[in-house]
Amino acid sequence: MLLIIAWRNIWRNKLRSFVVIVSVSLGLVGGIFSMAMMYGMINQRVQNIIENEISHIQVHHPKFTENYEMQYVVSNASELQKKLMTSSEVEAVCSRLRIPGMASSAQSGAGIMILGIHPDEERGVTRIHESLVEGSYLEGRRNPIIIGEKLARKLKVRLRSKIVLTFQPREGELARGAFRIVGIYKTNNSVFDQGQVFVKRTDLVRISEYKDDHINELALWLKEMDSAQMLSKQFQKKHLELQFLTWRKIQPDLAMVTDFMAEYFIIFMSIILAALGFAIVNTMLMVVMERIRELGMLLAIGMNRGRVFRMIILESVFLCLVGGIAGVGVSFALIEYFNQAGIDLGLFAEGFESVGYASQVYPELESKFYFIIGFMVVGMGIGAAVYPAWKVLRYQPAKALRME
Amino acid sequence: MAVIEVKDIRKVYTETKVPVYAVNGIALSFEKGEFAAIVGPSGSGKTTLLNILGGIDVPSEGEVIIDKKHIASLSSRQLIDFRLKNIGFVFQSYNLIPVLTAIENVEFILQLQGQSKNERRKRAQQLLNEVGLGDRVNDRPAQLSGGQQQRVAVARALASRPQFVLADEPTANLDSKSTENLLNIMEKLNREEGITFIFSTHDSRVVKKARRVITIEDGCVVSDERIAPNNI
Repeated sequence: MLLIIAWRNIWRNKLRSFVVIVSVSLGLVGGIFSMAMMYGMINQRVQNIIENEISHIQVHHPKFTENYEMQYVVSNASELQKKLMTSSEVEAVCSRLRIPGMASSAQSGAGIMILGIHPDEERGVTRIHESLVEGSYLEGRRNPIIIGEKLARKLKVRLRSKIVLTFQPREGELARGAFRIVGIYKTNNSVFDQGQVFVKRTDLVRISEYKDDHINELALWLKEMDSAQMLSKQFQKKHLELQFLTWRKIQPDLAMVTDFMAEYFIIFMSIILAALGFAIVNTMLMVVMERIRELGMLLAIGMNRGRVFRMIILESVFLCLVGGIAGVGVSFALIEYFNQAGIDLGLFAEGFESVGYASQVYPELESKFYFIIGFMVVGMGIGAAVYPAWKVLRYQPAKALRME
Repeated sequence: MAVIEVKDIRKVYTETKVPVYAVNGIALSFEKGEFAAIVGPSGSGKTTLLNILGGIDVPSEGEVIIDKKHIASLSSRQLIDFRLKNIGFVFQSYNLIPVLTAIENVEFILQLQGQSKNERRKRAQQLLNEVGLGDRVNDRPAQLSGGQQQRVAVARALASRPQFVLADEPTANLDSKSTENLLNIMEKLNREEGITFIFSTHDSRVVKKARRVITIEDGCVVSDERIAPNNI
């Protein structure tokens, strides 16, 4: 009956309860949707980086990533590549020749990272071939190159323009080669677009006079992203002379942001709920003080203080839960809708893309966050009623009955 | 044998600059089956005395012994439990739980006592029949007249089969017909079930029915008359 009384009590003053419920709902919608936007943006960024740049696992000589020096190669790369492909967890492996260099046009020049790839292999690992906005994917017999849209703007070049790549070969003088732009790509990361160019590895080998099996990077695409850590450890144990890095180790900042999403969510929502909680404390104070005679009567006729306390707590929890369910429901619907439709933040595209975020955001939120918010709302309901309940229970029944 | 005994009780309110003695040295005892009225002008200390008798207020001085138990020796929890099992209350402004129906209001006390749903429903229905509200069991207090609400309050007070019922100006908000009706019900319960009724009132209609009239003024008993022999 305590539940019935508490539930019916919240509808005694419909307008007041409605205001509280709407406040809780709006607070939650604002908080949850903002978090879903943030979560969606971060997830998109992680996905973009993995799909376009780093893949799930990279393999290098242990010293290669220190300064990208050309002498540090993956020995017996072809054999290793074949071996890695035999793992049931691995979807695709591509070999690369990664060389820092300089791209020059007639008008300008820029420092870049040259990625000598095998086009067909690369298709299985990265999505650059899907990011082309002009031209085609490394087609052409002699020295084709794909560059990012931002680099093209910087070098003031267009499709089919020629640019010269200069880089340090393994030994001797600088190597140079003229490449014809056959494709221009655009990702959501303008820093990447400005800094990475893709050429055929065979062309790079020919110009630099490297050996054909000169490979300093293998990139792996896994069937399940979550198995990266475990597989990396397994491979590392078998190949101690090499360094296996998961995307988390290559981009620790992103991994950290992803890992701490739950904590961010809890902190962010706690602040919102704390603000709402104070409003509910005020409401519950009004509720109990205007019913103090009734509460005095309950104490007088034999309802113990614990039961009265629970009744007040339940009222607050019900109030918060109704608002919480409405808020979470509306948030869920909004997130589902915009997860399909996307939110176009094109006005801020340049700013977003300069730090690697897409301007078309697809909000998303893992289901566990809805459960977390459920618990937090109940916690807020309990917390908000403690003080009003304590305040009213200090009164002797006779004093409470005397109060107007 | 006295079921309630108060010995030289005083109740002083110190919240004001000048201490106010609401009850100032009252000694009384009530026996089982009494139908007593405490009368006196407003502010004379009737309600305070009744609250002390019911254990919902604590005297500043003196002793309250109910059913051989010293109220002061009971913990807060024991006192609440004691009230639940032994005392029924009827208040001037009915004080029903507005969100519960008439039958739920009566059942509520029984639920606090831990009775099963069937038992509760049966007893509540029986009591509401006795007070003439058998056909209004599903109405909420707001749907009932003042007299009907007070009859629900009486049914609630009797639900736990208390030893005595304390009624604080139960007819103050009722018209004559409702007053007559309510008094008849309480008199009948007193006569047939031996329940002790103690009223605070300044309603002459209640005083006429009472078999003992205690008059208090300024917190002191000025007269204690037994109108008719206590033959219950």
